[in-house]
Amino acid sequence: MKRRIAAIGILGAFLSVISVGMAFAAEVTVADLIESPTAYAGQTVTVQGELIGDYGFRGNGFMWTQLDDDRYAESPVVEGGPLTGGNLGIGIQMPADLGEGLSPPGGYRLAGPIVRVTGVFKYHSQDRQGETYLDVEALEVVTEGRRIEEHPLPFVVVLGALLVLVAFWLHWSHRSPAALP
Amino acid sequence: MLIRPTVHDLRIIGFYLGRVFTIVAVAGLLPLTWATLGREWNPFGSFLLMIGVFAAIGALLIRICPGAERLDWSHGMVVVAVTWLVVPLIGAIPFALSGHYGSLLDAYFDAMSGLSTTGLSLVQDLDHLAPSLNFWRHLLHFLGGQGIVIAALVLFAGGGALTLYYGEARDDRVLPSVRSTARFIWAVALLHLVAGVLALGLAAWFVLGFTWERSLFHGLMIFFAGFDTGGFTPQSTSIGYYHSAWFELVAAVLMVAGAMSFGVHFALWWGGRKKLLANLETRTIVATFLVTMALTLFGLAAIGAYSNVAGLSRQGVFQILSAHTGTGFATVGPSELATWGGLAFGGLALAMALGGMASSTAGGVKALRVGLTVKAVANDVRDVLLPERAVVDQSYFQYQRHWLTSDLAKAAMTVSLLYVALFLIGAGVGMAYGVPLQDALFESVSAGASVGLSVGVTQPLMPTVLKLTYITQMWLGRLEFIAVFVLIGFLWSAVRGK
Amino acid sequence: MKGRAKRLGKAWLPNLEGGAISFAIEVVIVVLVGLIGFAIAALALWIF
Repeated sequence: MKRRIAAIGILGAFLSVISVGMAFAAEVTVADLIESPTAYAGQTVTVQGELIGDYGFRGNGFMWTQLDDDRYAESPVVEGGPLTGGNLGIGIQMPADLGEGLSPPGGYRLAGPIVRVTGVFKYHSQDRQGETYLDVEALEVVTEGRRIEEHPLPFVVVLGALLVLVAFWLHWSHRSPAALP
Repeated sequence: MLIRPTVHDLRIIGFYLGRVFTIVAVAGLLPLTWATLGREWNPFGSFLLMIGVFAAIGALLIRICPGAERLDWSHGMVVVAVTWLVVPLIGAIPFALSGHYGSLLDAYFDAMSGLSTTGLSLVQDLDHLAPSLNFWRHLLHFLGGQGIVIAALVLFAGGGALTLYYGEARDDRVLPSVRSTARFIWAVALLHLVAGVLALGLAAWFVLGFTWERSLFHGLMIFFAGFDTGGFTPQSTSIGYYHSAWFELVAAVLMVAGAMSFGVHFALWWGGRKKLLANLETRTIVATFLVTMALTLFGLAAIGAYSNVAGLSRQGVFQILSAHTGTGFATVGPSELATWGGLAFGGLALAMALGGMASSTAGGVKALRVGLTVKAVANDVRDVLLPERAVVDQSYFQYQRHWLTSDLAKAAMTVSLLYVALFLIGAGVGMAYGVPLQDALFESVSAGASVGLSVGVTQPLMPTVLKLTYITQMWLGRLEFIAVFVLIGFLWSAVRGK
Repeated sequence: MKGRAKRLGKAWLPNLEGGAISFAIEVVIVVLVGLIGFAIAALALWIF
């Protein structure tokens, strides 16, 4: 009984230390990490953004992907969202089990899951030959990924088809080449 | 007295331009098919429109300019210059309609960057771009890269005082005809396509853990951008996206292959490999590469960018390879690259400016010219230093012994100086808009030497004049000035001639 | 050279062996570059 209480006590203390540590994780944006990498190097940070591209399950217990925290996650271009410059992304590595069950990563007509990740910001990491990435320890899904609809432009298709027909006509209507003066 | 070009001249040029546009229209079927299979209907429509415009204009030109006459050198130059100006214009239609570009100029910028195998980009939200549009970006690299190699060998060779190949420096003599030359170039591209896509795809599948479809996609895109030393990548973080030394290794092999001249590929393929080491061009590029690599690595060590040897060598070597081959792949972001100052900046900028081998898809001054210039200057210096009766060896070795005539030396030096002027003018325009000197110079060299590495100057909000400047630099730099000068001369004499 | 060129004009086609060798040489070049770069990097870090 005493041992059980002691075990619970130790576990509780351990968990509080971790959650306090995570509570102290600085809330940053990718832009912050890009602008002042040395300030955050080696620190535990929390970033929120959309997972895009690919989920690379590398078979060594880890999964790699990229997190973009630009405006495009909330207002996709395809849905008429504003253009706000290039993507702002950072590579992230996470334990493979955290990555399982996530909705597909963002891409064309696909908004990836918006997640909050907490992990250590590795800048010019020595064990990965100078790579910069976020070594994620905790992940929380904020918004599930979703499909996005695109609105086709029929006028463009019609005009294109017409021009192709014109081209064919120009090529084949004219059997004998005109003699040059 | 300027002689006005005749209708006959216009007809020849028109006919061949018509042919070029028709070929590009056919090439456009590839992204169209991709869009169809992927049910990407917006891109589908824009590709159809682009194909329609290319096909219609091409057909019209062929119709009103009939007869396949032999292409004169100056006609060929005009065709090349107009091709690299107009194809990106029409080729930008899918970009402009995608919604991923802030303006028509931005779309044209990317299309020019694609066709000139530069790789600077104004695309916004690349990570959500339709795969077929991404494919078209990379296919432009392939068309432009293969196209420029053929144009360089067929047209840039011979005739005109400013061509590199004035007189005897041509290395296209290894195959007896233009046709067999072009066929061999395609064979080399095909070999690297198969081997490269396989290697990259397998790396993506086994090492990175991507799905097989995405592995193939990334493999194909990176092949086009690497082998044609372009530099576009399907995701926003360039090669850094893959976080894999293996992937970088395969990409590096393709970059090196892309920066090698046609003559080198031929020798590697068919034998005569040992002789390559005696070539002036080979020795020049090995020397400049080692020097710029050393400068970059020392510079990075001096600023303390990387604290261990593995990190310094992996990041430093990849970037310098990317710079010297004119590819433009990056494993560090633009804002970080901007911090690579001092010696590292010097090494990278010099590597970009010097460029790859002649008649390859790499840009820059080019190794053969650099070698000829250095040799010519060295000869002149020795002439002065040595007593009058001493004979200075005025020859150089490039597949065989050639005379380094003063005409050849002048041609090499003139074009080298034109590149330097181009880089400086581009830097000047950047600085006029408040860009710091180092960044302005870096970006200008990147644009003019068709590299594509960026320190962040190239972005959608940059001034219009600066966008136009880089577009012009990409055009002039890709065509090694001559074709553009011939076009300008042609237009001038059309207006002022009698 | 003339005869070889003539022969090649017809038989430029896949000399797969040559192609494989050329690709292998390209790989060797990159590996060499990496090794030399590693050595220079080591020297650079030792100095600085």
